[in-house]
Amino acid sequence: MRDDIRRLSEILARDPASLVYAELAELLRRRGQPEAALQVALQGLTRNPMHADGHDALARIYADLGDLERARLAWSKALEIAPDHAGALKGIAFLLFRQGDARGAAAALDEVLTANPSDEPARRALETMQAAEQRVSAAARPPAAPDQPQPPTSELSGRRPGIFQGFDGATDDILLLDQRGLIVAGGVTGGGGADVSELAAAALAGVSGEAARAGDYIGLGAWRTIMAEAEEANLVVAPVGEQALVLVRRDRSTPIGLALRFAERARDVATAWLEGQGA
Amino acid sequence: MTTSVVEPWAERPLVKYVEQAGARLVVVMTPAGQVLAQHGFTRAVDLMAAAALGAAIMASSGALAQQIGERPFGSLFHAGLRHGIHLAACATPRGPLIVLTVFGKETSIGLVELFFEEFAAALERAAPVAVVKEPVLTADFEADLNRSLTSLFGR
Amino acid sequence: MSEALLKALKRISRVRGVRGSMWVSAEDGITVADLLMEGVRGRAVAALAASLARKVSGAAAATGAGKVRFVQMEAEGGTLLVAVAPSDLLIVALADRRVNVGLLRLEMMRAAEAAAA
Repeated sequence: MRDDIRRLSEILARDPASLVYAELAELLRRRGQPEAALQVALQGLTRNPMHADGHDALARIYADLGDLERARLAWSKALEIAPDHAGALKGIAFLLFRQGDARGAAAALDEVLTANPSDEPARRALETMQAAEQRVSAAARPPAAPDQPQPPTSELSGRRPGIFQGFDGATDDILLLDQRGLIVAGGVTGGGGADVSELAAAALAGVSGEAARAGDYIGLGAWRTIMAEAEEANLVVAPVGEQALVLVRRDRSTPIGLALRFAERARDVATAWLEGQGA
Repeated sequence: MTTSVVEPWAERPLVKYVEQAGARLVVVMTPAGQVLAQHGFTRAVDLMAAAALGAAIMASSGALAQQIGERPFGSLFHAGLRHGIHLAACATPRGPLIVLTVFGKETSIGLVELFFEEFAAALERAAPVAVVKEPVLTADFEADLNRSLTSLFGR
Repeated sequence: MSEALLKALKRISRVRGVRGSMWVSAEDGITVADLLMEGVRGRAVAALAASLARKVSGAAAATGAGKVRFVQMEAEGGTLLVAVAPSDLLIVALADRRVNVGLLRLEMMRAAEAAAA
């Protein structure tokens, strides 16, 4: 990656109007240098304001920096220039989902797949959301039996730190994420055993922010837990220190009070692990 | 894509309001449609149109209120399929201002109204005391308008 | 209709520890009817509770948990509860920490079911 950055920088130095700025910005972003990436992207767009890929790169940088409004505007601009720009459509889907608009997100992903049917990450994300929508509109089902086997661990969650392995027998229903919506450990599976950790993490970062704001404005102070009872499962979210969150998902057969106990213990496990990581 | 202002004192309250309310577009203007600050517009022509129309709507609704013996309406809300529009007036030491807010489904009119109250109060606190203005001739008004647009988009 | 809504709020408000209850439009975050104690910022409660419920629904959808029926946020200074009712309505209650959450939840869910009838 370093060689690519050097090569692209040289091209850009020779020709400041070159479109390679977008690729360079993306590499810098992935390398964890968002400020440098931002400078490159902004300068490149000054010279190439109608470059959809450049706006897409800019939006990703803003998303990394936590400025979702600017990210949205940049992706919108990319779509204005190129209405079927896959990167921008996926970006908008991510933002819509994060804002609680699952249908809008699914519609955006549908457009991505119409243009590029082989986009596997988009397909997986869309299938997960469609499965969730179908369950919402289906007739009520009997609650799951207590000894129902857990869904298989997905391949992706196996790559993350398994700090919750063996925790009350659950491996794929506890997720540790940071305040930016990025996964730290654990995982969550949705319908059919699909790994929905990334979607969940993105959505939960928005929940955390809103809870903090509500506590502040309504005079409740700092929030401690959020519990949600839904048709298929109960969710408990709790802050872990100041920078992270833990999500516990339990199906409806687990009483909500018990799910809360799981979450409190998961939070303690996560706290100890993060401290061990120096976080 | 950014926030830009003609009057510097309006910047901080506007940035905070946009973030809190989740607004996509905001225009702060005088009742005559002259823009003091904006967020989200990328073209001067769109901004001018929005300001002119917003000021006209407020003027019309004020006239309608008068017709039916009402005090001027505090705020107006139009709900669209994908967007909502909120128009409201606020008082400042510099005179009355109108704020046009366009927002999407990611927020709500409840949130916009909640944070608009804070925004109006912040504008009132931040605005300097009004300076006595000499009568503006048509030519000066156009020059004023062009200067404000240059200031908003020429950075 | 408003009589029935207010009656439900009165039942909820009788639970000890409740500082305010309201019917809120889920999409708009605006109060439809409320019963609030002095000092409760009704407009803020309505708008923020609706926004929180929407975001929690998004998270629930992401995990395949289905449609959300009830949300409870526990904080240092009290509890915010939201029950989802039909016709794009929410029942919101604000309570202090000593509230019997189980009882309050029952009353709110009962009110939501009655609104569906």
